[in-house]
Amino acid sequence: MSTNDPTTLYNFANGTDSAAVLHLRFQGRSRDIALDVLSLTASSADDQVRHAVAQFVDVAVTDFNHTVVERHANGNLTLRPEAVFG
Amino acid sequence: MTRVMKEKKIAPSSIDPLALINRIASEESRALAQTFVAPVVRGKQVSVQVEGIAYTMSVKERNFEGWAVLKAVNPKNATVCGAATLDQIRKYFDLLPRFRLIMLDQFEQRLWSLQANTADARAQISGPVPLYLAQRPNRFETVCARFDGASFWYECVDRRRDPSVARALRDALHANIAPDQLRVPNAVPQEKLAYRMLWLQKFPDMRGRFSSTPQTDLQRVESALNHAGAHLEGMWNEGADQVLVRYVVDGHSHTSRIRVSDLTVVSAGICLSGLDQDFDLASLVGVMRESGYADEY
Repeated sequence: MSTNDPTTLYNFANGTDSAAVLHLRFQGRSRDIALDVLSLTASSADDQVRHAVAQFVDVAVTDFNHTVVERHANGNLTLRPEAVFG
Repeated sequence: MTRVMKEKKIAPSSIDPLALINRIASEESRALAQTFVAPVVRGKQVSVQVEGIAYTMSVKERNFEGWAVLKAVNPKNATVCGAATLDQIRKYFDLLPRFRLIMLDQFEQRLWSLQANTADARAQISGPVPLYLAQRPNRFETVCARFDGASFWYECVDRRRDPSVARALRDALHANIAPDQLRVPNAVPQEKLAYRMLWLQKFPDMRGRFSSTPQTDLQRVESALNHAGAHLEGMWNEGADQVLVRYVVDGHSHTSRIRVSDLTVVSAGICLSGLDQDFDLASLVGVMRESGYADEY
């Protein structure tokens, strides 16, 4: 794939020339972590995602008990607190 | 229980495999004797589904490209009988969903485009897609295309889109205006993204500017929304480190108040039991999806 192919240009233009990322929202703070860094893929199981992130941010995996793993069409993931509606 | 088991045993033996094969063979030969309409792209096979059976065939006329009436020579090869009429093409299009695409440029002898509405849930597309059999559309032009599940086929220029926007973007690119200096009224975020792509194609040395974390507040907000497949409609400064963000999730419009310094939600626009600040803009997109709530603000 050349550096002038449309997908490469798209990634540069989006400022995301790296692979898919996981967006973490946890205890009022946010951060983006490349899935490669977490050794995850878009199809990793929810528990795998929680384990990998817990290890990465150095907290107990039980701290992520009340979280939701979301999978987006673009390959990104989001790990966020459960929402309470109403 | 016994009865059920008996039925299960009897059911397979009631199908005569030879009769089934003969029926499929006769349907196949009948179907393949007919002509069919299909788009033909040089170097690609054509796919056709007849009587519920899908065939992928090579076209004998290797240099033909366009809408063709074809006839199968055998289940793996087809020959062009002639060009399809406009009426035949229209009937073909009527079977497929329509999408709006923003034209980019030709790369490796194919025209590429971006989906104009990223919130369209009918196809899970992110990033550029090739557009086939296009009638020389201009860069940044919005066109209508039909999607057959694998490829986008050019239909026509989108007459609903103001052509002056595409023209202004082409003029700006010709004048080498950097994306962060671009001022084109009514240009939507996907058109600006297309502009950024073609500008980076023109100025490859400038790619470093975009490979790091976005700098402006607008880019940070856009990036947070794009992470989860939403897109920005508008953003208004509310003072005191707050902005009002209007955005689209799966075709539904929402408005939320955000702290601009870290994109923490100040007020989601729906009731989250006072826990709005648990979320930031990127994570709020999924919350909106989960709520199924469409803000009419």
